[in-house]
Amino acid sequence: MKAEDLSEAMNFVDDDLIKTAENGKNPHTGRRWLWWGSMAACLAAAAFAGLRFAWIKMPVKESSVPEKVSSAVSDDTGAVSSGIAESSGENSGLLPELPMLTVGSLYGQNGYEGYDAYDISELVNGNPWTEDADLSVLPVFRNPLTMLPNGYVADSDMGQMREVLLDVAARLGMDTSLPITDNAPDEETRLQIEKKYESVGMEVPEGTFAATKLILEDNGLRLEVDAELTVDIDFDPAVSLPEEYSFTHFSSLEEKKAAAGWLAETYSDLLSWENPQLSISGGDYNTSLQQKYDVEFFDGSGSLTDQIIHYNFCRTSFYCNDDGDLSLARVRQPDLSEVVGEYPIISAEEAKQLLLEGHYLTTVPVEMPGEEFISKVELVYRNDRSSEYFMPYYRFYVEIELDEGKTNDLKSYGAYYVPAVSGEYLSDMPTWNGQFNS
Amino acid sequence: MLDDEVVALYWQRDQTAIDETEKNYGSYLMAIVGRILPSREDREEVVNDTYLRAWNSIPPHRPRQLSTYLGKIARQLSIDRLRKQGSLKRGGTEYALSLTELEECVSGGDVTAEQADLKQVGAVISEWLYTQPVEKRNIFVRRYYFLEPIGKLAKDFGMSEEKVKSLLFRCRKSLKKALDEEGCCV
Repeated sequence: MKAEDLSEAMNFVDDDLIKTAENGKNPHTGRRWLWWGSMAACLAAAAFAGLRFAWIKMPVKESSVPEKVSSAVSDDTGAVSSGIAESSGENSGLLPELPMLTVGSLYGQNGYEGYDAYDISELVNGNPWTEDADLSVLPVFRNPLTMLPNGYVADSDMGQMREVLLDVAARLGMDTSLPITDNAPDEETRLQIEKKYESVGMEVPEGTFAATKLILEDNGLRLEVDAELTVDIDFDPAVSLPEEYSFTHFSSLEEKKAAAGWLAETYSDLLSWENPQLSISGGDYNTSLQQKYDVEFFDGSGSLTDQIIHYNFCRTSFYCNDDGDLSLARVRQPDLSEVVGEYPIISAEEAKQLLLEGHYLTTVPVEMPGEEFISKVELVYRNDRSSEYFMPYYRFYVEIELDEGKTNDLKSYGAYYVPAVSGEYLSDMPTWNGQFNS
Repeated sequence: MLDDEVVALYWQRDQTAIDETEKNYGSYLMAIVGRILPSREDREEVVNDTYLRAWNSIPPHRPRQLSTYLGKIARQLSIDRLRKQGSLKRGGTEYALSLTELEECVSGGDVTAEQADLKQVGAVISEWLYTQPVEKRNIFVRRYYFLEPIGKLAKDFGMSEEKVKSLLFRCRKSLKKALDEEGCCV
């Protein structure tokens, strides 16, 4: 056998060994984390002694303690208002009583969130949050969906899905009396799926044959809604924009802005908000050195908190096909009716300190390299379908070194997340331990 | 997008699976093939071939760890390409350097790759790795599977380069003994 055969044999080494090696960076850092983690657990247990809710006496900081006691407020439609209930008493210096939150991990989620660009300024979006935003609390929502281990949703609310489907259909002027179908596989497809799983010695996972989407078709439009209440609108045939607009996969930022203007006007009934705001996001480069931008709109009305919620959760996007025609629109409007509470949040500066101390979640396979590599910060909500809560985070864009074989000047920016909710309400403040997808 | 959602797209034969794979793993795969193939054109072709191979193999496969699954495909395709070009040991890549090191573990005999049953050799390597301390194990895999440079390993593991080289030397000796004991046609 030759050396190259032995090298090739490495391809047959157990996946777990590969994964562990890939994840495990510096075992010395790992050991320190374990010590900190166990100490923190002891302190947390001593402080809360089995209570799920607690009044916590903390030094009063104006930025973190609201003047009024806040409570979750939602109106009849389930939309969240930034309503803050008046307090009847004076500020006692105590933090509000709110449920403890679990952050969880990103394990198993997303390969790697990174963006390649020559400069951070090329990465754009329409986030209404800015570093000088004056916010002391933000709402946290409970994810109403329960995910099965195989990635399917348990107990989809078909009634709610139907309502959302018909609402979007009405906005598009479709005939809402037409029958609604679903995507449950027919008998022939079920048999094929069963055969496929049988051939690899597996059982068909729970939920595989359940309907996960509702469908309505009318006059060149096909609407599909899923359990997250996201409605996909397929245009068949695809809609050609007027000649003067470029709406291709790689149209420039300016071209996409221009096309967005036409889309906003043409589909104004779909964007039935008080103040539709354009958000063009993207600007990172793919392996062919092409930049891509996505066109989205959100409701820019209401307070900054309202706008932040709309931007992160309630958006409508437009997508082109390979011919530069409008082929798909996507309306996102998840169920945010389960408001856990309005939680005090830390500042971006405080979040940066936590980042530097290693308290972050990331899918980037390298440790945060240092303060001098932080290029940008923004406040976002993570709304991964498998998370228990939808809560705000500070997303730090950090310049990282990944590809030793790189031959261009592109920089890689990895995304590192620090919970924005004040640490007193987190039962598991994350600490990076060298694990990929931590 | 979650890995299991991406895998679900493959199973549903939804071609956005490829886009999501490229988004999540494009850089990762480039890093792997970049240490094997000196030519940028070859690297891009291999990464694209990896996506195609993933498309054609999922289903029936349903990888638990998509990164490892894709990485193995990319690595194999890269080595195959070098083999075809007859340039396995040329190019000054980390792969070529690692072969020089691995020569200590083999006899360089005439037994072919097929005859050696590389799957069996891989199993022996796995078994041997499980007997090693975690740190040694990780350094070995990152050197000879991920082909990371000695300097990077030294930095990541908080050691001098000399210490990493010395550790890998002892690993190769120990692995050779394990392979000889298992009669792995070395």
